[in-house]
Amino acid sequence: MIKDITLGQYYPSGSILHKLDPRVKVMGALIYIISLFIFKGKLGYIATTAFLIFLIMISLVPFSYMIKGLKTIIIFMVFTALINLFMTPGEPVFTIWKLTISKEGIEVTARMIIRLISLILGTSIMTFTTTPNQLTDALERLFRPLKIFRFPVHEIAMMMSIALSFIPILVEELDIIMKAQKARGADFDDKRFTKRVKALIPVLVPLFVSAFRRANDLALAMDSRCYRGGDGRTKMRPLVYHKKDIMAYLILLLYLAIVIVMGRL
Amino acid sequence: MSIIVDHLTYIYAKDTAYETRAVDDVSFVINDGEYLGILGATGSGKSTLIQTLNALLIPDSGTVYFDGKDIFDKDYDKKELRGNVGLVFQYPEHQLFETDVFTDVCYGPKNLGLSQKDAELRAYEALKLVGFKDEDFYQSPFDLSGGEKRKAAIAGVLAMKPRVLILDEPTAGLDPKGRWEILELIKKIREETGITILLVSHSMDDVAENAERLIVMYKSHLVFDDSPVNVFSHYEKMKEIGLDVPQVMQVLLELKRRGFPVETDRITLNDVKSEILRLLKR
Ligand SMILES: Nc1ncnc2c1ncn2[C@@H]1O[C@H](COP(=O)(O)OP(=O)(O)O)[C@@H](O)[C@H]1O
Ligand SMILES: [Mg+2]
Repeated sequence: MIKDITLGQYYPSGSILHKLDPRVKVMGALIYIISLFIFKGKLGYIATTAFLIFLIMISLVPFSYMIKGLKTIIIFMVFTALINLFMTPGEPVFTIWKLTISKEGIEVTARMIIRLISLILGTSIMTFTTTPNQLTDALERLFRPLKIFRFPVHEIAMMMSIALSFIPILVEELDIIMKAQKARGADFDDKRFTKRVKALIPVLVPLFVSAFRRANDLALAMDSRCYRGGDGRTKMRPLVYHKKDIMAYLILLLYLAIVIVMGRL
Repeated sequence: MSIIVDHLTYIYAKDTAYETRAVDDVSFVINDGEYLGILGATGSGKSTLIQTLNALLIPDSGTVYFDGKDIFDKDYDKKELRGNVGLVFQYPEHQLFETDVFTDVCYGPKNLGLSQKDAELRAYEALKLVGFKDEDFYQSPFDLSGGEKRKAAIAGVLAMKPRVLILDEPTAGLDPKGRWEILELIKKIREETGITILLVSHSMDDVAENAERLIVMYKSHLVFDDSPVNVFSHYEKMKEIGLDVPQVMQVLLELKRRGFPVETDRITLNDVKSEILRLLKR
């Protein structure tokens, strides 16, 4: 169903991670990604994987739901794994036709897969526990220093949040329009390409008409509430760090230190 | 018997955090040629229910029989079904897309595989039936007024010559005149073609004046399936589930409460008028 194309994958389980300031989660994701690439030995893997399991557990997001996100990149993963497996020179383990798998190849591949899965799950924890709008808020705040260089931080954030709030509305509308045209006998499953493209016109025209209508309404509504850009604008819910956010930062720094130390061993 | 809804259940976003049971174990029958009203507060599952009737939504359990055949069978022709069971969505004018009204109305019959000529013939008939004048046929649908747009959209479904016409809140967002016109139009369509009508509404007055039988939905369940007079006699229960009784009936209930000897089982304007006149003559 078209409804399944949800943006982001926010899962409202109400865990402690959901209640953290979104900036902590953005920084946390960044720190986690960095931590994945700064160690060499086996102990590093234990540290990063243990931390990941810890995060998954406190996020209260069902694991089955979480690995759904992995499915989309499985082809990419298999492809890179195969290349690594066959292309890494070293002590041969066994040979198929002209392709040789080496001991080093297996090791490199295993490490790469663990890193890749950790990378994806680690960043997903952020998107599972943060709504797209919170994320935009956090990015706006984190990038605010760029304003000195006349970089339009607020405007970009505003565009992002408008786009984000429009997407689910348009997806729902698309769903209704498609069903309404199906009720008039439209066939979107035809195998022939030209037929398929033609069948889109009765869907795209109403969708664009409605998108323009909504955009126009929104512009009017913003105008009538005297919106004129970011200067001097305050927030209804400004981002404020609380005690738990500071704690979270400390845990993150501690984690990073541990990975650095263990990575040296 | 035309349509049998058998223990139908529909769940949105199954197995996710957003799971919603929109229709829960609903069974009823739609007889040939009747004018059936479906009442229910917003979110009670009316729209979901009717979208299963022409297989736009596939139920999670239960099924629908059209002329004795299970419409969710693999080899049941869904396109033919959608021609037979015409569904007019809420705000149907948002689905107009052609450069002129006439071509837009041809879209349905052409999808059913009719020749250009036959499709045009049907479009002509349908537009005439909803009251379009010849000179308005080639206007852009985007230039019409709200009420006219809606009539054009209804013609788009009528042109498929359905045997059952389902309308999802066809009077939503219209002014009193537009609302009256649409309700009169539905009556006229029924008189001239004899098709079965399913009117989804949350207006007590609309269904009281027109429907012969009422289905009442509350929180995904079917709570009443009876004649309008019988349904509205449960006025306390109706209030409880976020609905009400027709305004004219409220007048009688209030008179009764103040001790006047009136019969309260009258729900249309005319019947209530006669009842009050009878009271005055005594
Ligand atoms: N496309 C959808 N995805 C998820 N939930 C939906 C969708 N459409 C409707 N619902 C939910 O299903 C329930 C019934 O909705 P609906 O059938 O539209 O009721 P009604 O037409 O009586 O207002 C509501 O709780 C609504 O939020
Ligand atoms: Mg509805």
